[in-house]
Amino acid sequence: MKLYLVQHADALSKAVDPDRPLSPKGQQDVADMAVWLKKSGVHVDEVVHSGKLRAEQTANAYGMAVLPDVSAIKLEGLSPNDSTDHLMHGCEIAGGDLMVVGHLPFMARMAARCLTGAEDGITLNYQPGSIVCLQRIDDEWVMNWMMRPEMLG
Amino acid sequence: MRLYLMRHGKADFGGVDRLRPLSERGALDVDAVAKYLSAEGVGVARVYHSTLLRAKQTAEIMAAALKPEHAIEERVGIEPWGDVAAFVDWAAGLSEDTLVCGHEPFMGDAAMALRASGGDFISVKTATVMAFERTDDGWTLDWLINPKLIKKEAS
Repeated sequence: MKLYLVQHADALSKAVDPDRPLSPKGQQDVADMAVWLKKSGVHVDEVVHSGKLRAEQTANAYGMAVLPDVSAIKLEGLSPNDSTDHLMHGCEIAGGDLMVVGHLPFMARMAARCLTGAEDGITLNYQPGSIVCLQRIDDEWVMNWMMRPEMLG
Repeated sequence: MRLYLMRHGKADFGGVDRLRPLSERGALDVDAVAKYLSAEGVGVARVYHSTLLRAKQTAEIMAAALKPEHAIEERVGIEPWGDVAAFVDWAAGLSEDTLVCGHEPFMGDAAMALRASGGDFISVKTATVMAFERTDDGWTLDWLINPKLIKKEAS
């Protein structure tokens, strides 16, 4: 299976808007990345997000590119400091490719755990809107690619 | 500063290994990656390649697009059988953005060594580029692309 681990795009600060929706930059970034995802032929079977507005908005934008006509759904256990156990288990039983939109440090810990077995096994320099594509082959995970909005200037 | 680790493009088979040239598709893959990175504003000061022809040709195509300030240089020790630990020591002394064109398994091993962790978990297909950034906390991976992603985007 393929697992796409996404950090939500740039959001407004709590002081500006307590709900922290995507900022204008974040909106532009997700639009650019969505176009790129579509052109690159990325397709998944399910898109999930943490439930926070900035993650939901990012999931909806990327979801329209990789899983048209199906809404992204909220998944528990994706808060910044949650244990990665829940998602690891979800990957064990997943029937298809999955895109997960959430937060740091969770996403970086999850990627490192898949790849190295330890949550601090590798440092990925996530930036808002980044996507890390992992693939499980037999029981081993490898990283296929890592993209960030900056690469689509 | 950034260190870009790249695997050469697909090469023709047969003949003396160190003289195997890029295949037509291999050269096209590298050219697509080179043009993509150039268009996205990626530049480097220096470009190095191994002593093998396919890495040299890869470096030449990349340099044509990325326009390094310094002439392309051959570097001994980044062949498939090169010394990864020595490479990491060398990388620690780099001060300018640098592209190194080499091979598997060396590049994947070097990527692991830069992060000081074990395991073979990065999929380094031909013409893949990995961008490492040196931070106060050591090397971190910024992004990783391969020609498959770029060429579909271009089409």
